[in-house]
Amino acid sequence: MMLVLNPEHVTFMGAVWEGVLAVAVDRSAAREIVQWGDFGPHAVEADVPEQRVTITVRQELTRDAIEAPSPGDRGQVSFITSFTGSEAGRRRIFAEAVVVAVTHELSRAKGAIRAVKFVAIDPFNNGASSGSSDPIQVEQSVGAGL
Amino acid sequence: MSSTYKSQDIFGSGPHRFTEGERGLFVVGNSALAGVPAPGSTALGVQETEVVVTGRLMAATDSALWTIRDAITALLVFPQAPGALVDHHGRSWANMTFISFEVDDRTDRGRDVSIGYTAVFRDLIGL
Repeated sequence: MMLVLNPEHVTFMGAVWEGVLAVAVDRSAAREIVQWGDFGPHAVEADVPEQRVTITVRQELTRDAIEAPSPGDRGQVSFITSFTGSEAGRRRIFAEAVVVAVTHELSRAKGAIRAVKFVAIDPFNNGASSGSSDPIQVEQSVGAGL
Repeated sequence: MSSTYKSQDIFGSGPHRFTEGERGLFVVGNSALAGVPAPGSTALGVQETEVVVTGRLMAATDSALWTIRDAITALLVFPQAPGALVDHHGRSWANMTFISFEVDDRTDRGRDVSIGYTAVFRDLIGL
């Protein structure tokens, strides 16, 4: 799990998204195996052979937003994070992802917040290793200006 | 203790459980026996003892899992060669023939490579 508040420079399919409040990366079991044996009441084996990695980008909208990603859109989602907001320790986190939902929260207190939810997929999913690579990739020590 | 079939620990790579199939009399409708419409039914004998093992085979690699699967299916032979089936608690069924081994719809690849299965053994009466 990962939560990045106020990330720098969030992009999707080459477009820069402004006003991003947070990016959350969640991991859950899409299929889980829990096995019991013949000796007692407790599970003796558990495994997660199918996982779902989701990325949720919460973005504050300050103007009309006519153009929005649509469910099914696929591309690279990328964002920069650092511990202190400084140049030190900047990392770029990116993933090949597919949009699965676009929703909006509207309130007088918070204004308009758009949440875009992605399912991240194996970046090398066109070969024999399909599905074996973690969709979330991290590039360490990223310089300024990206 | 490990379960065994013909003294081999064939399911020991992962958790597995034993249960017996239906017990009782084998009853057939009289219409089927007589070939003409007839009321009632007739018991022809005692049903064969059936033991069902369900579980999960586990290995570190796909090839290792296939080795385990192949060793199990090699015991599905004809003419049948019955042997003793013993569960984890020492309950033993003699003269059991291994009659089917069915795996789940997918091999699971998580921390381990594994696949669920159902194996059926029966004490065949024969003709």
